[in-house]
Amino acid sequence: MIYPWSLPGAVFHLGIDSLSAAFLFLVLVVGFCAGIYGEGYLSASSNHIAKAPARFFFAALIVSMAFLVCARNAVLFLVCWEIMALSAFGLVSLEHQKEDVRKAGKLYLLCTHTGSLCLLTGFAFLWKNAGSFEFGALLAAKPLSMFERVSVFWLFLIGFGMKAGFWPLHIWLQEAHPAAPSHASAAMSGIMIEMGLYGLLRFFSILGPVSISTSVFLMVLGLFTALFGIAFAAMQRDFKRLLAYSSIENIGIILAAAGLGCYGLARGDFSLSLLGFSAAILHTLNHGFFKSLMFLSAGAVYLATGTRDIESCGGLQKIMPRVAALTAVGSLAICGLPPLNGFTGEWLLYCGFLQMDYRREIIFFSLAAAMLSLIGGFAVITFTKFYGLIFLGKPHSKSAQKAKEPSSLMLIPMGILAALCLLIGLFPGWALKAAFFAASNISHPTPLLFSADLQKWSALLDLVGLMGALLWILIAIFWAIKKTSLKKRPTEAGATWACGFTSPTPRMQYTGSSYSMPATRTFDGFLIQKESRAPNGYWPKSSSFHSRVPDPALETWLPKLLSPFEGLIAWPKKIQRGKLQFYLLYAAAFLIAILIWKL
Amino acid sequence: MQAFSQILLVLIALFSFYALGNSSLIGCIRIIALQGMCLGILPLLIDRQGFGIQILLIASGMFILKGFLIPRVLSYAIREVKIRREMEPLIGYNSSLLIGAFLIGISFLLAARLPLPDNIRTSLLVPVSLSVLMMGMLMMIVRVKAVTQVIGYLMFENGIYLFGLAISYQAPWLIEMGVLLDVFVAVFVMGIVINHIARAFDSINTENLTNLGD
Repeated sequence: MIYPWSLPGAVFHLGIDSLSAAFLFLVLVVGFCAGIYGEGYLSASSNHIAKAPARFFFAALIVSMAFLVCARNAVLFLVCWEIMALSAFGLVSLEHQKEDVRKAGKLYLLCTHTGSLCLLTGFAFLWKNAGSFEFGALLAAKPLSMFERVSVFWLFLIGFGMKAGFWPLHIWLQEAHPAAPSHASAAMSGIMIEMGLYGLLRFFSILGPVSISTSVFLMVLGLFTALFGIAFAAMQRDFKRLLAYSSIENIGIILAAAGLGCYGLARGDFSLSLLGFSAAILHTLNHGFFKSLMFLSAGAVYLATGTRDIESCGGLQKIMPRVAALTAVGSLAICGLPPLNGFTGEWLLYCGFLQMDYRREIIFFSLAAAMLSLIGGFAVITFTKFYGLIFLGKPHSKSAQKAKEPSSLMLIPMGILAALCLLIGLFPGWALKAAFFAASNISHPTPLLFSADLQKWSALLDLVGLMGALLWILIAIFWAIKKTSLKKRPTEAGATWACGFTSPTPRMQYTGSSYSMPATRTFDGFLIQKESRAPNGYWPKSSSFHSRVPDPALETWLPKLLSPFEGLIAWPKKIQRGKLQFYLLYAAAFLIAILIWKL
Repeated sequence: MQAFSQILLVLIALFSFYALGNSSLIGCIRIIALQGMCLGILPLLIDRQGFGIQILLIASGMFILKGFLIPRVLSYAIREVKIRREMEPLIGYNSSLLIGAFLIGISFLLAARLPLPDNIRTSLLVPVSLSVLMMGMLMMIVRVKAVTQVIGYLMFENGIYLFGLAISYQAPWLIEMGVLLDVFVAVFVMGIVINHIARAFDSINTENLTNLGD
């Protein structure tokens, strides 16, 4: 679809190829589910959130993203990008009465505009070369010079990375996602940050192959982002913040997969690049589904208990069984465990890392695969903590006892997303096919190679799905055996984690910090700040323990990086006195200067 | 006639100069009233075509409004807020006089280089208008009280009027009347606003208004 547009250089040019289609599918499905859920959420949260702006900004966000992935003109792309960024800002600062929400909104706005600035400059470079803003013209233009290529690459990496949340550009993510209402954070985390990846993939398809060292850099950056994200997720107490850090992890995995794709392109190995890019796209799809599911269930828990603190929930499985079941599906998927969809993308990535056709980089690739499994292990700890502390055991607080199941308006969209997670886990073939077609847009393989690879990998993945199905059947059989064999014997149900105590209290249960302590002990001292007053003497009076995990990128490094600029900012502050007289003086000085200059 | 109008123009500039160095608010208001009266007479003196009914109307309107009504409103305002003197100007009176003298010099310099139509009525008109304009601006900048700022604004407006007089032979009188009405309403509103500021802050220092921001 092409319509003329009065903006300079702009054409209202929309088109769909398989890459757009994959992302459009994600945007529409998640947008639909989160939107329906949002209605239930808004009506249940009575007065906390202004309803009309919430609806407006949410709709604007989804529509702008749908247009974004179909845009075939850089100006249209940037306009959609900006609408998306601004409507997300509106969603983040919906509850602007709270101080921390305002702070998060400000931080987000700063970050997103820094990113937009980079994108604008990057597209300006491309335009200078091609003389047009059309994607087709950019693709057909003569190759860029070395300097232009490098600067465009970095500009786009920073611009899109700011949105996607690559380390250390993720700083806004863990602040903004908890601040937004849950359906908005589902849309933001499930799709909006993936628009950064879409942009990066689209840019790879336009710019062509990058060098080997750059692609290795992308893989390292991705793996580091993932490890960093999941390690921080394991240490969080606020469950929405935990999910936000887990988004950083998944983005890191996707970036690593895209880096693998770039590596294949740089080596001229099309099947490797096809594998890498399709792993990236498949994991993007999967992440969109399970992360938005997790955010929606986090929202249901937040509505029911009124807290985002993991330590004050607990025991919700008995109170809200449906939400618990759906969250269990999401948690399993997000860990990347076999019978669900999270596994399929990661499995492709493992296969890519372990193909070992390149003897020189064999150490790097085996380390990368090891790193990926370390990340998976952390994910399991994080999400057993998430699920265990929120849904198992006994309620830690009064508000958790009074929780109740949310309305079906909220449950049905969650059900749809969970069903998608299950379906892709059992029948990964069709998702793989979509991902392969999308990836072929970037790596441009020969049709013969493409169909051979597709056949090979879909056969393998179907086997994975089959094994998943077998696993489900096994679980069902065991469950049935347990049921029938316990029928005859008397059973007694004790409190969870009672550990043999006759009358356990909720205070004796695991806390989040104690659960994740063995895994996160490595980070003691330099990432975790502890403050404790140990019990003292035979009759200790009071003791306390408090630990917090500040984000080093946001709270330590960024201020250090920015401190040289403070002097620079202080100067215009001096001019801006806020006094009428000074402004008049400036106006007069300007007028006189103009008069003297011109005469 | 020509000589008389020159004297009048010099007087107008001197009035502005005097207002710059005067700390008494009532004195300032009287000066601005005198300046307004001079401005009212001026068109009659420089019009070569003689007295038309139109020019008479404008002149008399100007005379009454700037010479009597506006000073009346302003003195009402200061009587209400009980302020007699501008005590703490940002720049002292002597220094403002010096700057004012400097501005007069600059305006003569600028006027000499300004590309103007040839048939200007009197040679002094443009430099005087520029200097009155600049001194009004200076007054707005260096004074703190709201009343003196209004006076500065009036002076500024007088400068604009003079400049307009210099270029247009017969300004459409409807527009002139409109401008006069505008100024009157502005001063009227400011007089009321000054009272409100005084009531809210116990002072009419505009610096207090800064506190209304963040």
